[in-house]
Amino acid sequence: MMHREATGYNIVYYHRHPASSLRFYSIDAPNLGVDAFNDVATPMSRQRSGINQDVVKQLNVASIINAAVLKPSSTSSVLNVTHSGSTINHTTKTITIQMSTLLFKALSMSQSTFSRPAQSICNTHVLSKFLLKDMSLSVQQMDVRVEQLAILWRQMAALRFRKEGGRVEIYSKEYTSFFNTVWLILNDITIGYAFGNFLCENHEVLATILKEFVEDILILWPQRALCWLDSWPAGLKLNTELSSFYSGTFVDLVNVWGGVLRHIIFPYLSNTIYIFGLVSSFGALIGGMGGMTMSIALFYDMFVFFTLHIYVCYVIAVVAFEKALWGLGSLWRLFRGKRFNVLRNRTDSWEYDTDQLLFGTILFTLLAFLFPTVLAYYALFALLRLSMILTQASLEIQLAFMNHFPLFALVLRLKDPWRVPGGMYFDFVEVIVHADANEVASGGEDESNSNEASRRSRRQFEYTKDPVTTLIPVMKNQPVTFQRIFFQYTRLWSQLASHYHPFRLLKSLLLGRLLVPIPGSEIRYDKIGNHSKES
Amino acid sequence: MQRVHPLQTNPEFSILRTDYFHEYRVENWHLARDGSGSVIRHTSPWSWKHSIIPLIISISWPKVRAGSFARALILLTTIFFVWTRCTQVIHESVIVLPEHGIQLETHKGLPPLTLFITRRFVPYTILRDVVINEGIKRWDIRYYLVALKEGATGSVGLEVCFPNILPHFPILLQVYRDLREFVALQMSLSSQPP
Repeated sequence: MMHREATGYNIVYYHRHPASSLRFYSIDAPNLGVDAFNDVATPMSRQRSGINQDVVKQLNVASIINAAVLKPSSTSSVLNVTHSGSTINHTTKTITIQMSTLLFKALSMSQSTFSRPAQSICNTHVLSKFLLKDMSLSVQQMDVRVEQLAILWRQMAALRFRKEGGRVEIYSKEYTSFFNTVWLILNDITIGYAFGNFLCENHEVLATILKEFVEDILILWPQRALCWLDSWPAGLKLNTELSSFYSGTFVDLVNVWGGVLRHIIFPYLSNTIYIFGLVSSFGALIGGMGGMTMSIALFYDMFVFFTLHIYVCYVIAVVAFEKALWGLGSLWRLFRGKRFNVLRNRTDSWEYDTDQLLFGTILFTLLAFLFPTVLAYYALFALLRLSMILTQASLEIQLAFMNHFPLFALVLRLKDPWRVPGGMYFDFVEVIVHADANEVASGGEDESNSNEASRRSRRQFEYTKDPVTTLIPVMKNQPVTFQRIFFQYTRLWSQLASHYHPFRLLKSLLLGRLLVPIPGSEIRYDKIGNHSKES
Repeated sequence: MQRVHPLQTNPEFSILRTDYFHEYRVENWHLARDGSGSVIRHTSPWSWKHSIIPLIISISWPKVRAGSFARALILLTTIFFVWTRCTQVIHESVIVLPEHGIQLETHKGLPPLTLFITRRFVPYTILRDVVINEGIKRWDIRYYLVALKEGATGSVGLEVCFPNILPHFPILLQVYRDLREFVALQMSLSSQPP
């Protein structure tokens, strides 16, 4: 067993990252969320000696301390040699400073002009109950974009004035988050420009195709299906009066909406598509709201608008179905001599009077014979509504992908894994050492380059005895795993999966609950950031 | 600095003690449990049976139409085959660095080459305790050694030692005893006034 003296010490070797490389150590995986620049206070770990937060902080500032210590001793000859190089560096530095100042001014100007009115539009209340941004995805997308720009502006203000002795880890996290958003927005605008051009060029053809599609599938097909249900579908004899009432109502509803679409909307459809194309291409100039995300949101809203009649018919059918189902269940309990106790939320036995039983029987018979008709019409509209929901879900998922995809962190993980640390580890390096020395004496290690320096760290000593190779531990950065990069995504995915889970949808269908697409507030950008703050 | 095999019934377990660290290594083979003494290997180096697969692939590739679904299927099968051959667990180890922490390593690759090393380091300041617990693995109940660490905001995280091999109890007991000594030593050291 090892005997170590309590006063013994040992040396830990580590790579001293220069401050400009933005590499740093971390005990745990960092929070790559929106509010990374707020220094989240870590809990006080046990007061043990060893590697804790303070040690890691000291490791991260090591190169700054090194530069501060070595600076007074730099000789003038070194300065002379690098003088010519430094003038070129100086000019590029001034150019970059001027460009960044210009960008910052543009961003702050657009921010002040557009953000306040845009946010107030998004947050207006319709009918004093619903927020406008909950009703329309385009408005929500506008809100998201405005918020992203506000965060960018804040981060840019913080990033521009980097102090010499600043904390590398905070700067690096801000840097990653800032450039991730910038890259996503630029991607968005670029793809949006291409898509917008496509829309603008082909707006006539697209309008014609869309009109045919809406006519055939959204107007004529439901009417044909309803007529089919009215006339003994597949040999089933549905209740004639109820069935004709249902089909008459729904066919009239669809007709009304079809008329609205044909006479009011369709004449302007090609112009609308042209405007969508313009927004997609050039919307970025108006406060940065444009691009592919905005066009996806606009098409989503158009889809919701065109299928409004199916939604209304579905609501009517589902209300009737749910009431019929509940009535049947209650009367079935009556047959068994039981009653639903609302106080205790359970089924109790209960003695019914004879006339209650008789009346219940009559009502049960009525409902039981009317139920297949209700079920048939509900099934039609439930299936239509399900396909609508799935289309909306796929559009929303696409939007979520485009809005916050951790592209920068992913590429950084591939290019320079030490800049996204998720812990650290010790690698064991062979070193030749004196046979009688108890510790390894090595010269100053300024491994400012890659980790190949550790392989080159073989020191030669004058050896009177045979040199012995031993393994010493060297601390290195552990890059964060891919799952951790996508942790916001796993949260988003779990929310989407729990909402659109097939079993949950099936249960809602069978019980007659209203099917709704996922509310937009659950998959918001900053909501995800708030989740990450809690975790 | 020499590797010892302290357990006779489990020769796949070895301990390496140096000045700077102790390594407890479990390799991916074991003796047959019926006492016959034969070695059961869970990894297989490249043998002639594995060479049949490239033969089959190279014969079937030109026969299939270019760009068809079958070619994509063959490609996927090749990638899957290479991936399974090259990520076999060779050995796993728990490395104790006195006064710094515990590092759990998994070496994977094509035996005898090591291609991928996965490491997790738990410093002593985060390590709460080391525990042996029972768990259900498919239709079996196995003991596993786990290091409890403090996660963010006071929650507890688990790091399982030897997660792929899950050796049997005598090995875990040996590692557990040594780890407890270090943890106790660390606690006693830290409780002394500086």
